[in-house]
Amino acid sequence: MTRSAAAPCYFGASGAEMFGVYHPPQAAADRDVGVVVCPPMGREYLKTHRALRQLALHAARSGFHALRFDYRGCGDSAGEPASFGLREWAQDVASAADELKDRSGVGRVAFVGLRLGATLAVLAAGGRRDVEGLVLWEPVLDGPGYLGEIVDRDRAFWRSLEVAVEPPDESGTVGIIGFPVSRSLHDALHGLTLTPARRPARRALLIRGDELRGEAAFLERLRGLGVVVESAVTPVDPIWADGGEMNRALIPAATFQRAVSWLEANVA
Amino acid sequence: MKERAILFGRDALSGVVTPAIGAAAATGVVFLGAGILHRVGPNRMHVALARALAAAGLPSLRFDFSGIGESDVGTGQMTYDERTRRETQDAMDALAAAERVDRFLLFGLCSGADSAVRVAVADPRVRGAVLVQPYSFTRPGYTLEHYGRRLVTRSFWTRLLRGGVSPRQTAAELLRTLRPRPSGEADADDLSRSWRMPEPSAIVAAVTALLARGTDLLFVYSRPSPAEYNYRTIIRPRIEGGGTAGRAQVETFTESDHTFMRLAHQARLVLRVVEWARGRMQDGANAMGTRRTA
Repeated sequence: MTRSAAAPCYFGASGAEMFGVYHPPQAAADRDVGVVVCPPMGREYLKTHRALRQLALHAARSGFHALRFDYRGCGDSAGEPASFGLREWAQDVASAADELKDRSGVGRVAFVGLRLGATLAVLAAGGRRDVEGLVLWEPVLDGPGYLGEIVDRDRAFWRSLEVAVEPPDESGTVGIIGFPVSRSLHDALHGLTLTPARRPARRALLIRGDELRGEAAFLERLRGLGVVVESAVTPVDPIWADGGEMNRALIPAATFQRAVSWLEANVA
Repeated sequence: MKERAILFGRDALSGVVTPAIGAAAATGVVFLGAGILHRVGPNRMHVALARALAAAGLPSLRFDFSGIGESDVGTGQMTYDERTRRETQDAMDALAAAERVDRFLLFGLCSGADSAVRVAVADPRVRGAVLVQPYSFTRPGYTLEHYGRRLVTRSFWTRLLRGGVSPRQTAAELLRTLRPRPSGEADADDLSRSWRMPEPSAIVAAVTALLARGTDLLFVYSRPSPAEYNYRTIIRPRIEGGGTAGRAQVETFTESDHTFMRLAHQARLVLRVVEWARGRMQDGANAMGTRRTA
């Protein structure tokens, strides 16, 4: 069995270290673009961990340097989720991009984000000039819609057990499918409409199944900022969504292939 | 406390070491993965526990079994039981080398708890184990108890009358779990055909052997649950009143779920496990004394 050559590491400021896994290129082509994989949050992070590892391996086999990482307060990274919010996590995407450039020597990056990870990728890219491309896989464009969706999922889970939903704690933090959402994060999501102020990248690929709420305005905004946008409508498996069942992890290989092929053709 | 990512063992498994803060014990904690979840555990439970245990002076290692999470698929031909035992022992060796510990407490949920029992039986370095929802297989007795309990609730009849309960589906579920089948047969819904309910006699033999050896066990359950039913009907009758019963403790959570998704339950679980682990340090598990770490 061939080893993946993946290199786990910690990076970032002392006391706020982030866990990451660097995937060096596994092909003759050694591209000058690094791929930063931005995971979703909470339960969706757990559900998609396996799939996003496979996506990074696909990218590495295509000759890209790739980095997966956990935001502060998430996964193996330092801190508690209630201490951070969208702004900090967007900074973490930027830190991961810098780490990948330092580690691999690439001069440019592309962000591949899933769900809220795609949203954070757009926010992070707006402050940089080295982002060649964005692959936005079911991005959260409409915060209230996203909140409603995960709250509904949480309620359906507890209803299936005939158990009452857990009330917020004294700080206002609520548990949503096992993960804490602080009042400040809740408010930030509630006020979120993804409207980039600056051009985040030269090119972008949007991957989605059903039409996303706010999609038309978002794409128009990107085009208005000079981004060459492609939209891929695929039968996307909602691999991030479930009630309580954990022992299912779908690997949507066709979606990976679409994303990596687009990266090869557009940013490499 | 600065965590470190490591690769260890014959198959270069991926893990994270959490060193103790301050005085470190000679005892370390190893977290075993549950199902296909990667090493952070359900609801990030292993991370929260590792850091709370570090504050109490116990270093730990959480890792991914081969083919799960960050670990590549393993080499060699082994059964599931052999592989999980060998890889957990590799993890114990790695933590021993990294943090200079020579005895261990194991933590496992669901299939991780089942694996923890097998490792503890095989390796005397294991001085205790937290077994969360072990032997979580639905047996006919649980099904009858479960439906019997539901039949006397108002919510069941309300849902039935409103069409929220499918009589056909309920009957099919009942028949499926009540169908006689040989012990040890895997449930058709199990992800791994290798993960199966041991014979009740084998469960009793393993648990009583561990207690007789002086291994402390903390059983943790949600109630009602198949795992809790199996404890109540298989394990408890055989250890109650025995001379070793004091080594077994039980913690149950009502209005909970298999992985303790309520935030209040997660906090309570961390406190309970740390309290229990501290007790194991004081019970001579830390006979070699403590040492300062950087």
